[in-house]
Amino acid sequence: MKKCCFLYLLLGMFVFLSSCEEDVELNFEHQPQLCFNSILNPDSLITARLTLSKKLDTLNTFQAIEGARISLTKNGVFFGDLEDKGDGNYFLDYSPLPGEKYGVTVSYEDFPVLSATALVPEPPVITYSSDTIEYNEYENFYSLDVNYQIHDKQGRNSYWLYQIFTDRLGQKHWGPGGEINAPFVDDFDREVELDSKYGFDYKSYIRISDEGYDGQIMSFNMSGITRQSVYYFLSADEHYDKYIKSSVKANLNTASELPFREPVQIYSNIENGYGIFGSCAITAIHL
Amino acid sequence: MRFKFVIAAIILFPLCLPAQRKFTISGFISDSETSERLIGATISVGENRGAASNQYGFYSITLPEGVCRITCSYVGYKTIVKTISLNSDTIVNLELQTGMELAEVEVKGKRREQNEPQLSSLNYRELDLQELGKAPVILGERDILKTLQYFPGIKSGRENTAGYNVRGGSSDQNLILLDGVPVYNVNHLFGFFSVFNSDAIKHVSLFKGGIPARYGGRLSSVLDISMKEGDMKESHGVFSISPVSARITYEAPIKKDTSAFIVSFRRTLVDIPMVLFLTLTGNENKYGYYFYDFNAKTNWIFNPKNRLYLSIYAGQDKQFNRSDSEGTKNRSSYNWGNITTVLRWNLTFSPKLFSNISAYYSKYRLNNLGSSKSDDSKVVFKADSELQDYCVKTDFDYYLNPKYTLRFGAKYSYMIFSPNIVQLVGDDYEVKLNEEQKNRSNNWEGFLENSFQFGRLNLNAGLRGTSYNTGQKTYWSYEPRLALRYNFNNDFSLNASYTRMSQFIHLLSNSSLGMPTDLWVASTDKVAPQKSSQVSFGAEKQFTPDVSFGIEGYYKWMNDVIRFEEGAVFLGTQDSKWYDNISVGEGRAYGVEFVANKTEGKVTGMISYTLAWSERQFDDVNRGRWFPDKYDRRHDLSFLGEYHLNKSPSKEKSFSVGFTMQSGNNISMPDSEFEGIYLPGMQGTTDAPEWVGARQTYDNPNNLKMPTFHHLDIGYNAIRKKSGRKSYTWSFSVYNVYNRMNPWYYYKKDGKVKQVSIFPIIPSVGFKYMF
Repeated sequence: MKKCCFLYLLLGMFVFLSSCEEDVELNFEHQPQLCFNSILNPDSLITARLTLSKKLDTLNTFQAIEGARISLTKNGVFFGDLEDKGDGNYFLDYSPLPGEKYGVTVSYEDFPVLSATALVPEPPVITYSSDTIEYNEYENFYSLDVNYQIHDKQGRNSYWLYQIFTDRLGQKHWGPGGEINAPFVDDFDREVELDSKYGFDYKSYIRISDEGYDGQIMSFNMSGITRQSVYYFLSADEHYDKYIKSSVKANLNTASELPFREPVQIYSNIENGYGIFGSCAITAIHL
Repeated sequence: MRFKFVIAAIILFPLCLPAQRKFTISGFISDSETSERLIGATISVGENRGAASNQYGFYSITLPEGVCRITCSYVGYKTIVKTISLNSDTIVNLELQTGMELAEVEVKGKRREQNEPQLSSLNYRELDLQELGKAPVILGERDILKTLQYFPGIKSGRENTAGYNVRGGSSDQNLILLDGVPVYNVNHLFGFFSVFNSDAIKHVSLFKGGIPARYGGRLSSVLDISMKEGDMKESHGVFSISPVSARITYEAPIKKDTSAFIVSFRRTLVDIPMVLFLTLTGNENKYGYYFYDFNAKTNWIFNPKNRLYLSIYAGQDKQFNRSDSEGTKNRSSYNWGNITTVLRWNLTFSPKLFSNISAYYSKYRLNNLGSSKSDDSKVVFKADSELQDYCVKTDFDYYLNPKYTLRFGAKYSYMIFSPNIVQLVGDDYEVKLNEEQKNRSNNWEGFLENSFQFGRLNLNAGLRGTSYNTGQKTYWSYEPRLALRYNFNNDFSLNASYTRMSQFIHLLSNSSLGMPTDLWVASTDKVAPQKSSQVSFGAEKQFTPDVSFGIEGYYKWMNDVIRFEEGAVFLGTQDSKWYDNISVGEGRAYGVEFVANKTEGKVTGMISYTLAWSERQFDDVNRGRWFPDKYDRRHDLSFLGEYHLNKSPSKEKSFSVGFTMQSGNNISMPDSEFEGIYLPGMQGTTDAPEWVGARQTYDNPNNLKMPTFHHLDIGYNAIRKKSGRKSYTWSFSVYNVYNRMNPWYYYKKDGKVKQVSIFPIIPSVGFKYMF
């Protein structure tokens, strides 16, 4: 964290001594577009949201779109229309199947027709073993050192790790995984953190790519706790993977005060609109 | 296949030209007072025969037996005429005296044609260093890289930075040579100043198109800078001072007419008051910043056929901070800079064959050190980026006849890249990161270049071949070059060129600031070299001996260009491997350039306009669709002029004006917001980040065009000449006369867009004393 502070100081001094800063109004012309969001998951029925995009920094909420026709295809053959449940929510009483390719088209009034496709991945195969480190008497859980193995399947796969923790009051908390040091972890959100176990930290999520490890067993250690936590291993299809990654990058840019990061356009596979039509399959681990 | 045959025929045809019984006059052209060799001086015999001295001042011209009258001229020097009875190969070394002549107007108009006669002034330009000394500047610092930006098709990345973009290319696509050695980092202080000390420079030439085969390694342009060699007659020097730095240059003979040296040193002054203040106030913390440049060159003439040069450049920026508090010592420093050194041997094999053999070493290094130590703990952070280039090369100029010159040469370089090697040391850990990024490469290059004249047609055809080996992969590259110019009469000419270039090294930069953290990286097994093809067509008209007008259109294709992946940053605490953070794609740039020059009279100057487009395409950006480049500036108008108030042997006064107006840069800034979607299981948790529910984005990269950029600068120069070489020069400048707040960058804070402008109206004064 201290790596660049003096360089910032120098640049900051130069800018401070010689610069002039003022608020400006940039005249962005924004034409609202349809935003379609749906993630196919073999463990769930199909749900989708349809809203309108809005100009940045306007306070109003996203306008939900009702009455649109949303049609689903399976392997190129019409499969059914999603039912309009109101307030921008759409539903189909069907669970998608791993290995199948689905397509969607969205028609609404004079807006251009949206379209996208997604291939549903297989759930990740995860095995693990653990060693107890200590017992937390107050919270009533064991801290563990867990060795996980991801049994990767042939082809391009990306995995996202996160955990949902339930506290004593029953409230659920979300968080990225734990501290990890493995060569297949994507370092896009890795930052030097001298206080952490390995000297660096992952700021948002842990993303594991099988690039260079295709079809192999990827083994790594990560700390964990018993009972209250569920560890999610989410296998995302290509589109969903890019969507999550670009969203995290965009957020890192927003959070950073440094103006010299490369800007990020959030990935979308929706032709003629915003949003994502992706798919995932999840293996949840209860320690 | 047919195309290859035509190319081969063009290249090899001149080798078959029949020999004729003639004799050769050859030698060196130099300044009579200093013996400094003159580059591009003109030798002419009659109306149609002529030659120009090469980069080492050597010329060769082959003429029929008999009496001939040769004329030698160069801008700023008196023309000399010699009559020679030619009955054998003859060596004639010519020494020109400085001074003005009426005939110079004519000479000036012809000089550029003679030096690279196949190129228009829009493809090839020599900087007039005297004019450079009079152009208005910021903070009193003369800078050749900033003066270049008045020329059409050459623009700075951001206001007042030395980095420049040529014809829609990126700043790393410019080959910058100092005495034939590539300089990898040309920036001081975030690019606000370049590393070139104008007091030590002798000659600057720039190629934007029709680049001859003797140059290679970058896609967009070549800037060839030659340092002064040292006065072989008598010692003298220059001292200059500006609000930013002080410079001193001294040159003297080691042995009269045989060997000489020149040394030059420049250092910033801004840290001195700060250090004094800290010392006087008893502050134990120490912090500061400075940069320096050191140039040295020496040369020996062993005999008329052999001459040796040794040049050294070392420059560094240093920023440091030391503090002690509560028993903890904190230290940090940033050091970055170049070292180049080159040994060159000029060997004249025969009156027709001149060679130069060079061995050079060039290194750029960035070192960042941070430590915190106390009695019971220690934390050290160290990051290094380094590029080393070892090279041997040889070039030959073979003057077969007055209308045909063959150039050929070969080069081998060995490069070592060590980008962003990080070491972390704590009490109970030691981590090294990115060691696998170290990379070595072997680069073989060869070229063949034919420069000849068919009547009114000047043509330069050549081929450059490159083999680049890295890791397990070898990349081959064949680069045909062709440039031709047809002079309909003395006043009007048409020209065309085709240039294919390849580039094996890449600069990864988060910005155009010339940050020291910009990384030079090599092509690897996975990252292919960049390639470009450029065609250009143009016309030039000389209305009067001192007024000319030119127009040129170009189209450039670029393949395998790279850029940082979205979200990447190396200037932070993010730690990543560079090759995991890049996108590889295509580029295209096209446009039309106009220029009008007036070179003589009380008022001289240049006005230029460029209409241009520059676009990029990357498969993983913007869904693979083309989008405008960051520096896609549609319009660009520049003016640089000088009014000579007074010019006499003892004093000279002039007033100069510089004006630039151009379309703003493009930046990417989110302009729309749409609903996001939570990860499964995330919605409803207390810690689910808010940003997940609403995403901010833009329709295409570089969606926002910044306001039109313009500023007007004025300068006033007064030179008072004393006895001998002594003279005083006062230079006054006002940058941005009408205080235009050009946006330097934008950022968002608390939902508002902030515009930061860095350069308001800035008056400055500089002083130069020649002794």
